[in-house]
Amino acid sequence: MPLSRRDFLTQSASLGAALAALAGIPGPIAELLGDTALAAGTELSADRLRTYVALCEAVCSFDGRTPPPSRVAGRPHPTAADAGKRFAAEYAAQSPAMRQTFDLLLTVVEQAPRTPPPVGAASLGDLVGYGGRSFSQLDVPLRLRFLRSWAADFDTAPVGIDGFEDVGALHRGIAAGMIQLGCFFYYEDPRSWPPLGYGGPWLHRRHESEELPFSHHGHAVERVLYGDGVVA
Amino acid sequence: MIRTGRQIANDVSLTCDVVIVGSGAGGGPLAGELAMAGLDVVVLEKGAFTTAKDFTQDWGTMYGRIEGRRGLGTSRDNGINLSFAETLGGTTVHYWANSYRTPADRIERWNREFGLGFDPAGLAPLFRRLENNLSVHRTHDYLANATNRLMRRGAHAMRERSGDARYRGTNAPQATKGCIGCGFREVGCAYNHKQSQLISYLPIASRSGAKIFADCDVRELIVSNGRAVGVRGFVRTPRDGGPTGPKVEVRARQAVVVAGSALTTPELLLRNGLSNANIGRFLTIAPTAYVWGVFPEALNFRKGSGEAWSFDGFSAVRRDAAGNYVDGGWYANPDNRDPSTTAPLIGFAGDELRERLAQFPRLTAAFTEVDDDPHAENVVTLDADGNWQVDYQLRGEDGLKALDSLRKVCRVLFAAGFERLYIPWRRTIERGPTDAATEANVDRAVAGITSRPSDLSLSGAHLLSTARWGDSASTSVCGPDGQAHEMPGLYVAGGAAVPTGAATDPSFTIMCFSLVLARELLKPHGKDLVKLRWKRSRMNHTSIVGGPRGALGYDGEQRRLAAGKVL
Ligand SMILES: Cc1cc2nc3c(=O)[nH]c(=O)nc-3n(C[C@H](O)[C@H](O)[C@H](O)COP(=O)(O)OP(=O)(O)OC[C@H]3O[C@@H](n4cnc5c(N)ncnc54)[C@H](O)[C@@H]3O)c2cc1C
Ligand code: SF4
Repeated sequence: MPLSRRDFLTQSASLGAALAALAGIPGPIAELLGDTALAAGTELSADRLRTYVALCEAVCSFDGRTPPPSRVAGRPHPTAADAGKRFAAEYAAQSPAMRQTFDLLLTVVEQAPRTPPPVGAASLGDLVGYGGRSFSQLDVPLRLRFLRSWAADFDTAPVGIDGFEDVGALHRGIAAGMIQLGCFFYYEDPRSWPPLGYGGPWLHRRHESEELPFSHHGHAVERVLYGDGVVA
Repeated sequence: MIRTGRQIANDVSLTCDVVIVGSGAGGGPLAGELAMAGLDVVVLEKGAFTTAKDFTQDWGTMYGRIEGRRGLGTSRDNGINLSFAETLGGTTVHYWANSYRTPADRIERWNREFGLGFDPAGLAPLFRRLENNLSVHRTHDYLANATNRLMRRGAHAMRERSGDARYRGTNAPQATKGCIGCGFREVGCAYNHKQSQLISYLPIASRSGAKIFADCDVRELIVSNGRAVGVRGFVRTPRDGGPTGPKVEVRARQAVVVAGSALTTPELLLRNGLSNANIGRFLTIAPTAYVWGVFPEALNFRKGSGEAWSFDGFSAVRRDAAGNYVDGGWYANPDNRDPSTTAPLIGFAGDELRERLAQFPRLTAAFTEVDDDPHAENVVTLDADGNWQVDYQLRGEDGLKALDSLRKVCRVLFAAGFERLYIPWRRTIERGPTDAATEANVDRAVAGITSRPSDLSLSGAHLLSTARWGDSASTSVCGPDGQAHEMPGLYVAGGAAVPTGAATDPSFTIMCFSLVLARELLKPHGKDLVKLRWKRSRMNHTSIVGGPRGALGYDGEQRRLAAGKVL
């Protein structure tokens, strides 16, 4: 019997095993959270924010060289937490449909390490390794092990979800989505740029800081282009 | 006249000759040409009026400001990032401004398969007009970033080594005027040098009397006796605690033109119950795969225009005697990315990502774009809330083309001196001790890729064909004159109108279709496109210097403004 979206949510929120039921659900994954009750608020829930910050802690590194400690004085790493704030702001600015997709992605990733293969952990060995913990409860190396196992999953077993050919495509799609979401908001932070050797925007940049300045740089123009004096 | 959401206090009700929904590559030129010719035109644009002052040159901020779905639009299975802008000027505010005429063989194909009846000789003056109007010229080398020069060098080396003359490219014709090569073009030109619709055709339209409304989302077609006679929408800027602002209703005496993107045009048509089976189908996106290269030394990889040189020698498909695919069917470009778009796209995580980002000053990107065939199963449909959703897979030969493009672009980059490449999805290719060993490494890595989007981590920015023109309602949505088969008075412009992929960057094709449509809509008035005079400046850029009703050059206008004249 196919699950309704609400059933899916109730179950996946309570235990990861519900993810196994994904195989029985018709309809694409982005639709699974179509339940309006979930879209009511524009605020990212504390649970999902925790998953997101845990993701950034594992995936990104502020100075591009050393692995950051995932906890500083018992709290999330500040740069990952900042990325979390930016993501939460983006979440609030997005459409209800996008918010639902984010909710789904974060819920699935949070619960998957304690869900049996093929839908959850990529192998039984992994499942045992994760020790029944959810994503944000895992140590950083195990979070990475989980993400990489999904990113490299080429399992062709059918998953039964419209839009996904097989479980491997589902896993790779979610892993790519999570890595992209984490990195985009993390490396948006201009403080992360100098250690990577990126100079940032030209606007407001001093010419002498440029590697090879163009002689005619500084052309910035404001033009009144529209008939009623509007400046473009 | 241009009005933004904030300036619209009350419900708007207008009547005009032609109402145009969308102000991008399709809507902008159409509005400009019709208004110059004296028609009463209204443009309704859902995006905001963002201008050079808003363009901050960082991707994080700008994606939120100008991109549709705030930069996070994907296909349903998350396999494809979909890139398009929703702002006044549409995706031309976002684009690289590469402005290629449609290849002749593609026009022939459209004539043959879709009965468009385009006469290439007749289109040439339209392209020339666009080139003059948008100041299109070949980009100078000194404005290009280092990746352009390296790829050209690599293509040359491969041509010498393999004897295959298709290892070649061209300096791209770009729509810029006085470009200073900052390299941030993808997130809006902060210097007003890129000739997007925002600073080219839309100001011409405005000064020629068109009424342009930003922040206006069109939701409904007004139909009377089976004929489209107008549109309804609302101002997106919320008012009085409500979710939206005032209502907007525009009735058109002659034509309702839907010129949204290839995602939003079918969305509007489907939402309004149009039933032609081709609406939303045959989506082509020119699927784009990234290759990242590590060069032995740090060069100016992020300074200068990214796509200034195009590797286009393999754009035609080559087949064997039995008609089987051999290679080709794609084009490729050097790119330009900051950390916030490099890190997500490169696909690695944790220490693997750190290692790669530590090479950032030596790291650059190129991307390949497949000239994908239209397939009925690649489709835009409506989700439960009536918003577009995309299903797209590489089908037929498109997967083979994507893999072929990776093989050849990797060869070019290694021949240019790169020491290590990263290709989708999370694969690393090292340079071997000999050229042959390097090529074997490339082939082995590419052979490990399945041609599925989630394995290639694809993007799509050239969105076309979802309400295409053609002579038969069984294969197209609109006739060769742009008018919907099933509803008189309703026209489609923009990427959705183009029957298949354009075999090159599509903006000029889209604009040309709009000029064809403009001529069509002017016919009942006994008019044609207005004669314009251009001046060629010292910098090899053009400016309009003469034409009716205020279509005077931007430069002239600025001078008059500087002299204190009221415009
Ligand atoms: C990053 C990037 C780089 C590119 N570079 C190049 C390049 O160098 N050369 C090239 O040829 N092409 C390039 N392209 C592609 C090219 O820009 C697009 O194909 C082209 O602009 C599409 O034109 P369009 O009219 O179909 O849609 P758009 O230009 O996207 O315009 C559609 C407009 O309609 C508005 N709209 C949609 N629905 C509604 C509605 N219901 N009510 C009101 N308004 C609505 C949208 O907000 C949008 O502004 C690039 C694209 C991207 C994303
Ligand atoms: S490269 Fe030239 S056209 Fe592009 S954004 Fe910079 S100044 Fe503008």
